[in-house]
Amino acid sequence: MRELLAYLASVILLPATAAALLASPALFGGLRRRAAVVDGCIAAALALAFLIAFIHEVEPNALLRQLPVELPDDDAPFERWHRVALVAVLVAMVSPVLALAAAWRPAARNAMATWMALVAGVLVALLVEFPGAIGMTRVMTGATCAACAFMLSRVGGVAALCACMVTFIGVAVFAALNAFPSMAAISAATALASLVLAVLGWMGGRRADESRTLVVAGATSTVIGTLAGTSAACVGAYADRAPAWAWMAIALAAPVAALLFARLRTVSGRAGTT
Amino acid sequence: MNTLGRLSFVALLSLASLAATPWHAEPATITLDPVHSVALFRIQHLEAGLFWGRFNALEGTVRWTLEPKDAPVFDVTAKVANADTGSEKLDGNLQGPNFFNAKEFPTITFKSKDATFVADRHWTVRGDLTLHGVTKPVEADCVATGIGDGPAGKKAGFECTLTIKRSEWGMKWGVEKPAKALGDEVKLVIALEGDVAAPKE
Repeated sequence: MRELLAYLASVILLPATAAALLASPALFGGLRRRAAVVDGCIAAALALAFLIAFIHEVEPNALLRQLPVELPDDDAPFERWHRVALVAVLVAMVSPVLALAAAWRPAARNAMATWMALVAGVLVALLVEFPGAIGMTRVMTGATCAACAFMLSRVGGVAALCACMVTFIGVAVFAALNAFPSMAAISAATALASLVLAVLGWMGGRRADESRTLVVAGATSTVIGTLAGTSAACVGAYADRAPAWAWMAIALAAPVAALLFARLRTVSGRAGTT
Repeated sequence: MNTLGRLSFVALLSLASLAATPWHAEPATITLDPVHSVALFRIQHLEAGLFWGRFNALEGTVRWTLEPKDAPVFDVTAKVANADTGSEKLDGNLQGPNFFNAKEFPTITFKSKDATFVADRHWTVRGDLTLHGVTKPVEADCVATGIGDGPAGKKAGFECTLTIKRSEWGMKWGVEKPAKALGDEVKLVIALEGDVAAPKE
């Protein structure tokens, strides 16, 4: 029992702690005024949490095997589900660029976020292939990532991070029910990281001189959408007993609900002022 | 022809026929009977009990001369989908990506390369075990358990035993993370039976 608790603590708590440390400077203090910094730090923190959980759960070579490099004394096989880690690395690397691009022209932020979602979806469809995937499966994976990123870019704020948390909890449960404990652990770690960032984001906004809405458009929405879509698709590829549409529903449910809630709030807010 | 000449002629004839006969008999191909060929595996669970499971319906061939000193040559395949632990849930878990990852690596194969004679019908067989997409050399202790008569002809049986460390084939879940959930060492007992086909003339 002690070993199990130690394992859960290390694979779930450690990534969330790392995410909190990376994002905290941007959520408190003067840096919170800079949308690009906040967006980029949150995005990178989430990708980092996912990656740390993966490396802890599997091994660093599982990521390196996907690159054209020779690994000494490594004869373990490349497994397709390890592709999720490469996706996390790529989105972590581009998140600062995405954040800067979204903040460059605030008036066009929504349009930029939409383009980022579409490009991410196309790249996922082209580069990510899980076992048993046919052309249509890959298209649906890309479309799910794009839809998830698009909806979260319209939600914004702490609500987007909460939607991320709910999505990854769903993926974790889905994975646990389908004999995929590694993905369950990685998704649980990402869910906890999202919760921690949401709480920190809310706490940072409560301070009188930092009452500024958390901006999670562009980088963060793209990172969440890409990771959520590919993780859900990865589990779906191995979930023989689940309906074929289950993984899509899990990836999209929380973003859809968050978007509807945000729209209802906007509509009721306008109705209240008239 | 005198007596000495006749004896010499007979001796010469005997020597000639002896030279024409092969030193070893041609190996027969023994096609495995999936119903009677299984591989058992044993692994420690939570540092407590030793848990047994099996792979049913092994397929493949064994080439053997049926001579007690000649080593057989094994070419055996197990399908991961045929894993049988007595629990449907556990059978499904074993197919998953944290264990055999059946969707990417659907079979386990053993192909022998050479062998060392230990005693009549007992050899140490060396060959390649391909498991989880990784091929590594292994050594198995093999015995020919018997040759019998079946309704369709001769049958031969074998039993091979070996122990491997699954982490060497990339199956690491449960060894260290989470620690001590499942043992690294796996004992394999492979019981084979097949139909002996006569060697080709």
